[in-house]
Amino acid sequence: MHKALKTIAVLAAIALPLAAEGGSDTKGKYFFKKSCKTCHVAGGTAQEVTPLSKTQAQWKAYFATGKHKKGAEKLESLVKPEQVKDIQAFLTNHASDSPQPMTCGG
Amino acid sequence: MNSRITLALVAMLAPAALSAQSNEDLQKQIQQLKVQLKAIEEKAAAVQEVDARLVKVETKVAGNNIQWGGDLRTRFDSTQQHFQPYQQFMGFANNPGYTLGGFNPANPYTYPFMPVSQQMPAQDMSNSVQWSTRLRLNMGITINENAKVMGRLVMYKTHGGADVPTFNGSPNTISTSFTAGQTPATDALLVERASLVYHFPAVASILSIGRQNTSDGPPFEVREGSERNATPQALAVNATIDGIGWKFELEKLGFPEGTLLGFCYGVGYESGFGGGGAVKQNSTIVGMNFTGFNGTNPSVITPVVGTIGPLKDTTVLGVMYDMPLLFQLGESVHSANLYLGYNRMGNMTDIPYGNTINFPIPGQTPSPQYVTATANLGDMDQMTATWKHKIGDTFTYFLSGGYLKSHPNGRVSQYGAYWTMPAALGGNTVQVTGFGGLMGDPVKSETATAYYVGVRYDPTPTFGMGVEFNHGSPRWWTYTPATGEYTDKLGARGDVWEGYIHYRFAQNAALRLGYIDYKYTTAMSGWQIGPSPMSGSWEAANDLSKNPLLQYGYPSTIKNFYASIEVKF
Repeated sequence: MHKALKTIAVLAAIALPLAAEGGSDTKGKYFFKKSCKTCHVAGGTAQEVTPLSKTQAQWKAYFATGKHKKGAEKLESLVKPEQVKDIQAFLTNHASDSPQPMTCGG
Repeated sequence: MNSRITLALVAMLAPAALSAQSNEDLQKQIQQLKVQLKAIEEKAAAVQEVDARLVKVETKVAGNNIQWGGDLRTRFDSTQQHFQPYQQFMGFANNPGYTLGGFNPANPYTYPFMPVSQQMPAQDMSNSVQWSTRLRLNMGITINENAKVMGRLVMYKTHGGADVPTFNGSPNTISTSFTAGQTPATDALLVERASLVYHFPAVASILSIGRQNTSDGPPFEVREGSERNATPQALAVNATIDGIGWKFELEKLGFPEGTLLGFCYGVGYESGFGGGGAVKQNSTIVGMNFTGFNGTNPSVITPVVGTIGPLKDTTVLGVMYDMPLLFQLGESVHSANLYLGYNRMGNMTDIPYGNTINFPIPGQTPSPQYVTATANLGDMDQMTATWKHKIGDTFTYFLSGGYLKSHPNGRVSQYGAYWTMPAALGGNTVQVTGFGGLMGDPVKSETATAYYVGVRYDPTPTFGMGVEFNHGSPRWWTYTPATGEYTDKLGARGDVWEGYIHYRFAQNAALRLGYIDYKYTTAMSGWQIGPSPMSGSWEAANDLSKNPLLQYGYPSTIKNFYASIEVKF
């Protein structure tokens, strides 16, 4: 038991530096629903968007520009910068080519 | 004068000079244009090349309409099993001590025939090194904007010679349609899932027909560190079920986004397929039993032939409710799910159709053995509920509970030996060995309960650890032939602890270390059936600590250490 705890502690220590600097997946899902899905839904005022709409690389490229509405406005003018990070984490983690692709339903 | 001449000369020579300068410029411009033209030609060639490549890619994508994903797991297991003393059932023999006066209907040892058993001592069994590999290929095929075909192909086997599993009394060592891809079997790719999923936006519903997503359901994803894999709760079923599901999206009725109410119908056994439907009426001989005993005259005991059937289809009708919640409390975002399920399993059979790869035959080489259902034993109600709550990205806990109630029809399995008692002695068909009746009682309705709880802590996005516990009452049963473990844990009659750490050492690649401690109280975990007690209560007769009479030995404890490498793609 003592050995097992030691192993866990060592692995935790190794894991900490590897922690991604990205945002929160859970928060990202929440803010995506709250901020983006108000318009980006089927039958909404903007084209429907789900994590499956792009690949991981495409989401990364999209967020690198920091632009919304094809460059007409900055993303950060719509959503707080930390929330943008969270949304990016959620969309990238569940993109069409991710190991866990998903829509936004459940 | 000189100035005039100079002016005249300048006037004469100026156009020529200008002309020379223009030519030079033109030459330069032509050169520049040539360079530009060359660059344009090169770009055009590059565009043509890109275009040709794009056509190739588009053609390939158009032809490749199957999207693939999946996972590969290689796992090491080290296991120690302990068996408490039990009486090994050997068969029946004439009872030399039988007397009319001594006959007691409640005590089979006073019958003219009595069970013969051999006392087995406590035993330990160790399998310190076992490797297994599981490859799962998930596929999605878009048919049109509302229709998809979803599938999963699985190869899951232990390392070494293929086809290793040996029937040891546990249902998860039988290869059946339900266990395809769930228990280690062969190196063949088996179809675990294959269903057409059709979305009807007009009526906010989703229809799914085929081999359903009924394995690794909630809350199993917590341990796996993944998204939910199936709709039915893990405590209800963790096997492959063929059938139809129809889910209604309740969001438009004011329920939280993603709330679903689903109905399902599945077939567990089709009695009309193969053999011209013979088992619907018939009578394939499977054994010999005794009837006509009146308690006073042994000579009227009549041997009867045990037969398979007649069998009806085994079905399941279910209702499920799935309500996801996503909300913010202060700075923290919470994600929760409430799952409720009810299943009515009709005309349940004693065992599923399937085969055991290495069936132990005393005195002979183990060989493949085909097993078949012999009787419908009755119906069963199953209710399950699960609450899962994730706080931020770091802490998740879940609570899951199950309840069972049987509705037996008086019949028993034809595997084993039974007596049909005369009316004066109760009139019941009593089976003291073999598989018996539904939940151990062919006549009386019985109940069972179980619960399953767990927590997981992910201090970083790459490292998580968790603890789980599940408990099943003595008659508990759930069809979870395997849940990725060395042996099924959610069907355990007793207590099971599991602790694990899950370390993602690279993108989509993880190491898992864990320990599972099983403590069984009662024999026949994983079975929905059981023989009647020879005397006393059923619970006492099957209590592993009380030297029970058993046809197969069941371990009282299993200690399992495991390590696995898991990659997703």
